[in-house]
Amino acid sequence: VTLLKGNHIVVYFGLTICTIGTLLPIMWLIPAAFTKNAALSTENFREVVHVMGYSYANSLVIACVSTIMNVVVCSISAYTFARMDFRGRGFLYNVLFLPYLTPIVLLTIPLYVIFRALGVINTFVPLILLYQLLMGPVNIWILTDYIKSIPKEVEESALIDGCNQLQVFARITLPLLASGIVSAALLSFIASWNEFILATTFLNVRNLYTFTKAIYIFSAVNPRGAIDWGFVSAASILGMSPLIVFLMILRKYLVAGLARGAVKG
Amino acid sequence: VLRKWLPYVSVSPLFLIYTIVLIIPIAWAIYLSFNEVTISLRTTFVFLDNYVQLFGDPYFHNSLRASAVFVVGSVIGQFILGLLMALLLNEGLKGTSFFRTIFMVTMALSDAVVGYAWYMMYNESEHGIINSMLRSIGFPAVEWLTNLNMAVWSMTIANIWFGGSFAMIILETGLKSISSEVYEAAIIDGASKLQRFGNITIPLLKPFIATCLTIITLLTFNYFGLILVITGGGPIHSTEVVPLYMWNLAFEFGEFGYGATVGVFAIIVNVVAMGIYQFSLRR
Repeated sequence: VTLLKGNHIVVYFGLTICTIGTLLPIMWLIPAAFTKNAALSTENFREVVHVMGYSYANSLVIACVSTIMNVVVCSISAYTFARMDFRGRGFLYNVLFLPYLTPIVLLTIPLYVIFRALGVINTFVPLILLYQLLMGPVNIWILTDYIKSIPKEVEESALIDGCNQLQVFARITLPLLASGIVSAALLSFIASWNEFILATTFLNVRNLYTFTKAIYIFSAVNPRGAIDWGFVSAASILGMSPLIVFLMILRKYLVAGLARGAVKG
Repeated sequence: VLRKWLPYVSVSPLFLIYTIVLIIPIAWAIYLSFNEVTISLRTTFVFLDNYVQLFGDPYFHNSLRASAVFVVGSVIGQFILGLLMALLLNEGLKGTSFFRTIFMVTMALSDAVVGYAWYMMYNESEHGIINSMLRSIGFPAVEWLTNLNMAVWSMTIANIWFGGSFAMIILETGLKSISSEVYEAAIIDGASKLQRFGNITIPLLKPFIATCLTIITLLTFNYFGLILVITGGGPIHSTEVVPLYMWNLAFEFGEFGYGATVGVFAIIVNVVAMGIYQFSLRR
């Protein structure tokens, strides 16, 4: 029994209204994308691929590398937080929250100087490092929670059998952690594929643009002027479709991840 | 010895990254906020001058107003929308998982995509579907992006649409934790739907509501992606929220020192908001 006691008509009516509201802004991109000079055509897509096709590849590279790095770093840290007792643990666990108290734009000015000194300006390195902050904390909360839900005895018996802590982590914990890792990877990938502000700030060389920056730069016919809606719509559809498919396939991991990450954190 | 140092070694990659891209930059930004910084990044120590300037700066006051509307509007809107969707999904009727997937689609989208999608809908040309619909049912068209009072609300509406599903996930998790026996008992006692909602659903949902409101408040206060795309802060600064003002100061006008001052102020707001939340949780 729930609040509305399953009143079908009311519930389905509400669900339908919400569905229309959610889909309208996205669906409205489709007619614009397939129209060129008032005629049905795929010209816009061809133009997008020609002008900024490479930017999707850049986004993919950045998203893959930062996801892999994020999952590796976060699962090791989460295991440490969940299983080991050490001085300063509580303090460090609280420090994790810091990115969410900081307007990330504030970091860009000092970071520009730092990355220039390190000689990695106009590479993907600054973005990949910064993207560790986006979902890093949430992923550690998710993974810590997953690890805590694995009975300690399983690991202890392996320790007795002569494995060291690293082997226990790799052979016992990691496989049991698979669904948590899928959640974390999905969150990371979505966040880094879609990130816009930092990409806009840090990538100033045309051939390094991600698709989000490329849309922003190439959409305007002239600066702050008329926008080529057909081009923007086509570019947006190309940018969001792979992730929507991803989300549909892996949605239960996303729900589980967000529920754990948000509620524990 | 190894056992003692292992935990520190294993969290070190994470905190190395934190140190490089978060802690040093924050410290540096705080330092910059006490300096006059030129475009070539030469600094002159001016102590509190930037902060004095901040409190008398009409554009800063304007950004606080814009942020207040944007944050309060977005948080209330996302919460109500999220709660509504969560309540509907929690009924568990056939097709629930299909509807949940549809509602979650907004999570797969980029600021850039959402920005242009809404920009197009708000447009006053033939692409502006909202005005076309309004006209077709006999209402006058609205100047979504050109009216000085309207523009910030237009940003808020778009952001509510963008973020509602996140609130939905958290609140649905909360609703699932309420067992159906509680409702059954209330029904036997003759409680109406509204009484059940007010006396059972909301109180039992409270921790989830608190978490949800805090997270979306912090996220929204620091967020300006879709505003940058749609208006860039205009018309006449009316949608220039605090972080966007900082961005414009630094990257449009090269005022790195003063921009950092605005940023440090924003951190203080965040910490205070977080503190209020922690305090209210403890009570």
